[in-house]
Amino acid sequence: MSESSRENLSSLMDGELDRKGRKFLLRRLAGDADMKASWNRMHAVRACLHQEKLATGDLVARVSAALDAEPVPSRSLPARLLRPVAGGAIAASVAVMAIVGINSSMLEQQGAASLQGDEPGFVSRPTELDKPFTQSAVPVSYSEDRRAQRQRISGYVMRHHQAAGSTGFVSWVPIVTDMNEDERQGEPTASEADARVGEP
Amino acid sequence: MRIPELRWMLAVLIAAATLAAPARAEETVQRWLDRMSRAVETLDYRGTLVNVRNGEVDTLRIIHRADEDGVRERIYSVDGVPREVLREGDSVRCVLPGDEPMMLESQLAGRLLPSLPVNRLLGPESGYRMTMGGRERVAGMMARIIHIQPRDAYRYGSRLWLEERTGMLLRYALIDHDGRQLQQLSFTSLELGANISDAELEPELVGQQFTTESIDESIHSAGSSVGPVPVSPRVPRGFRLVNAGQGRGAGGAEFDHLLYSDGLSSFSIYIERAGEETMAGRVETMGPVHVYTTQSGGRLFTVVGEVPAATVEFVGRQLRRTSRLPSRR
Repeated sequence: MSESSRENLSSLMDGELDRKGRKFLLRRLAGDADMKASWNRMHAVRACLHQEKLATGDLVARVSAALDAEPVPSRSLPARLLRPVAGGAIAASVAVMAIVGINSSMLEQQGAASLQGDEPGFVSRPTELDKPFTQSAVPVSYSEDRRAQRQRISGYVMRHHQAAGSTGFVSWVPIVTDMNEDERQGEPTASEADARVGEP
Repeated sequence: MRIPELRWMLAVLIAAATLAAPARAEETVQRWLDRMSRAVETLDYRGTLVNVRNGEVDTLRIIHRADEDGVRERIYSVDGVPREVLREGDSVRCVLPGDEPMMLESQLAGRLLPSLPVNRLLGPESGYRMTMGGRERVAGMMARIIHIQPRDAYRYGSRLWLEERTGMLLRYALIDHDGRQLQQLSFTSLELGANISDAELEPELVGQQFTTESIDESIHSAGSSVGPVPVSPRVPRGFRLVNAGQGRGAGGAEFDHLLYSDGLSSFSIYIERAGEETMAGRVETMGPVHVYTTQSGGRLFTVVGEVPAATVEFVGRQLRRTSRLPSRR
């Protein structure tokens, strides 16, 4: 399925399509098995993310029950005492793996879609400030259009400050200080911050 | 007058007083903010600034002069690699250090942001809670403290230390929605009303020059008269389109520029023509400034602002979505 169909599905799920778009997509969805499967997957992922705790508890309970039902070869007292604890631990780790699995597959999907090779100019690496919004930092590969990218973004930042005319020198200080950071850190990095699901 | 009536009137009076008190405080804050913008732009000064962010300390010198020829300002680093920013009237130049130093110049006739009427910033519609704080001594001068707290995570707040007589900004702390301090900028010494010679404002650094200019000098004026715009994405509450214009980049490519503001914070959307290929969004940071870039539907969108990453990302995602929907293309 194409990236744009996926994007449309995600818009539909977030209730962001207009009436016409919604009708169109729903008609397509009815006739396209691949798309339908994708729609179900997205809902499963969303349900997991929204009810992470609930899902974890449920999964732990189910795996625990399954383990309890399993015949255990060892009959020694210490092993019998330890069994429920071990069962809980295994169940919890299975649940954690399920969640991690979902997250990393989403990251891979996004990573594949991202364009490698642009370069942020004096824009520096993500800071403490961005941690809540950033999934992973990917090193940026150097390429021919590095200078062009650097120029473009830097020019836009400067123009924005001019246009907004915000608090005088306060806006210009980061331009001076962050150029230094670039030098100190050598290769600058950019962040791929698009891996989140749903609206912020 | 009967007692119940008196009691009733007293209750009304008390209610009115409690409702009016925050509004009055915000008006006072607004007056201080106006004084600050005037002082920062129109006074002549020379000073040393210390910037602290992420445990890194930077020392900068600032030289500012305002006369009949307009504002001239030079900000340069005292430690580390030599770096500087020069403002002269409508043009800003900044030197990017490196193996091949670049001198970037941006020209823009006047600022695009109109001063929003005070009532937009105040009251329940405002994205900020503003209060007056105590007094403190900064760089040998007495300052009044102002607290500006954002009401949501889509904008930053700040604490400002303003010199009592002039309103000049002496110290600035950037804070996020949770009240965490992200950056602090403070004068360690400041000469207000200094005599600034031309020589002091001359740049020390040079490099290969690139210029970004605006094509349309008379950029559309603000408010209701902002004409048809190429895109109108959903934006976080409180922000509105205040201006639109066009420009030409250093490579000669034309772009559209839309400016959004909530009265204190602002961000810009830049739109350029691009290939049909699609590029997932990415966020880059430059101190408190965040940049979101995405390519979709034959256009390259860049969202830039001194706002949290969440804000540029929100707007960027909206742009990507709307530019892809078949019904809106």
